[in-house]
Amino acid sequence: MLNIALPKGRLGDKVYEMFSQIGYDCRAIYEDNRKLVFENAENGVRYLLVKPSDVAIYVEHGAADIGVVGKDILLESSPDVYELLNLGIGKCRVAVAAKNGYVEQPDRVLRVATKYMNIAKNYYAGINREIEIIKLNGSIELAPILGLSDVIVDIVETGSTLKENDLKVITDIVPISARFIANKSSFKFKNDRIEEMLQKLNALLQQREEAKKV
Amino acid sequence: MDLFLDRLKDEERVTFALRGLYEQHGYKKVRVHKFEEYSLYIDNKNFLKTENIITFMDLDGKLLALRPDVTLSIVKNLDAHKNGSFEKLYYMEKVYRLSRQTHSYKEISQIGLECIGDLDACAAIEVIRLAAESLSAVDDRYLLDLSHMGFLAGLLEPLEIDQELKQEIARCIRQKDRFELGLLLRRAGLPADCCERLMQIPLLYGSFAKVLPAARALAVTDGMNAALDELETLYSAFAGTPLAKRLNIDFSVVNDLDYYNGLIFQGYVEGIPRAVLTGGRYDNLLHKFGKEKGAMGFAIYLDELEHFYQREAEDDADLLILYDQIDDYAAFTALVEEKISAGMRVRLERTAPPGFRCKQILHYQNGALIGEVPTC
Repeated sequence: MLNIALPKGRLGDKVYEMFSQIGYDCRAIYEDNRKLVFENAENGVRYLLVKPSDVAIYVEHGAADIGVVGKDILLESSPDVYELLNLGIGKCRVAVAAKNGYVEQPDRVLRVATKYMNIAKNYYAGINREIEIIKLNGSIELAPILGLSDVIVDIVETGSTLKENDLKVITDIVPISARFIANKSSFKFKNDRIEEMLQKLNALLQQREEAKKV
Repeated sequence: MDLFLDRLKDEERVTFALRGLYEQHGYKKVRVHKFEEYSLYIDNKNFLKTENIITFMDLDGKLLALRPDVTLSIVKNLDAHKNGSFEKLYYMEKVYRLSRQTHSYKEISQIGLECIGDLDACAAIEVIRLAAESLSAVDDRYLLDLSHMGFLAGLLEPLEIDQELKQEIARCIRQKDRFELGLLLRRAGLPADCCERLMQIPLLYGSFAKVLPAARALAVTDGMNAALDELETLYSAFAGTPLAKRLNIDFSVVNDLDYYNGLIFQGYVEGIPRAVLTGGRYDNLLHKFGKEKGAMGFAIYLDELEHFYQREAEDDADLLILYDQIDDYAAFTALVEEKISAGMRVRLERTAPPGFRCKQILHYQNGALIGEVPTC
């Protein structure tokens, strides 16, 4: 049995669609109920639906053999797992944003609101800028509006949330997409199954790439 | 004196087995002081892969540390002026490290083995064999992944790239992250054929029969070929034995280039999510201490085993003897000892402790044990 941790929500749905296309379907997942574990004994897969930021934790601790998670979460928590494949979906970026008309003052400590403490710390350490981090768990866009912070470091997909809140991107920090990860021990003991899945995923990605060209 | 070996817990049995294994191969147990000077660890923080160390002030104001590692202490105290013979040592100690899981310090039981001296193939084969046997003492579903630092080093050496980029490349390879590795190499502008080779390294995983030819095809420098020769010689020592099936090559195993130079390896047991055994050849560490010798060793993290062995919550004792009044202590003791030597775990109480679980309760009355009341 291969245990697969998927992030609940839109990304998870897209990933499941990919996985079912290459033969890892599990019809029970469509049933409308509150179950968190779905199993298909025929093709030997068990899906666990977990909070996106917990996917890497399940995989690192071996509760799931493999999983799919955004690169933002991997950068933030640097779990000890194999990052086997870039699935190329869930594309967005982590960026610095501020209110329209914001002018940076290099002689002052920069106040940064974010839920990505480590990404923000590493980025500003890299450009030698002293910052004060304000850790928030959601609605980060509010912080500069209320004067809680000068800038925010957050995920930007289309930029429409920023626009609606009178904010704009100042700098992109890093591009993000969904990654296929595996527990190090599972990779060894279930190597044939994981390699097979990787090959099929690679083939699917190539197919999609070619379909785009046409 | 009876040893009651069947009372041992699984982890304790492993400790026992390993001790026997190492002694039978002529390794001597060493004891290492729990405290070391803090500077030892700070000077070698890349070897430890951590800067989080518990420190405290000694009476004379010197900064001491609760050791996070045993190998450094052994190497530091080593007498390097011995003749050509080996130092063969093993240790069973506690180390103090930051637990990544709980973000707090943790006491970890570690068993390790070191072979120091002018190492030859025979010594290397012995260490690998002992590593594999150690894993099999934990469980028979194990794998030992081998790699050689010379392979990657040989590929990177002619490139003359800076330390930081080397570390980044090593990190991507360690995570088998070919996507990030590709980005990194493109950004660094390394020659195309070399990038091609580096991109293949994370894929080099599997049995010796499968990986060695693929790795040979990538080898362009003498260093790389020498690394593969060494792996081949090593494997030939196990060909045809049951151990051979347990040995794999994994070139994504990469340790710090400053400390490790030759063979490196990691052991996994099915059902344990992390490596339980890590080791390798670390001549460079000895050179840093001005000791011109070779060294190879490994450590087993016993704390990883704690949750691995499932056990039923067992009874607190087999027999609970409740006594009220004892007239003849000698006779009473004789009765109790008789039960114990029959293999029972016996607890003496005046009243039953709350929630106490046992198979049988006996009352001591008028010089006899009576009232066999089975507990529910």
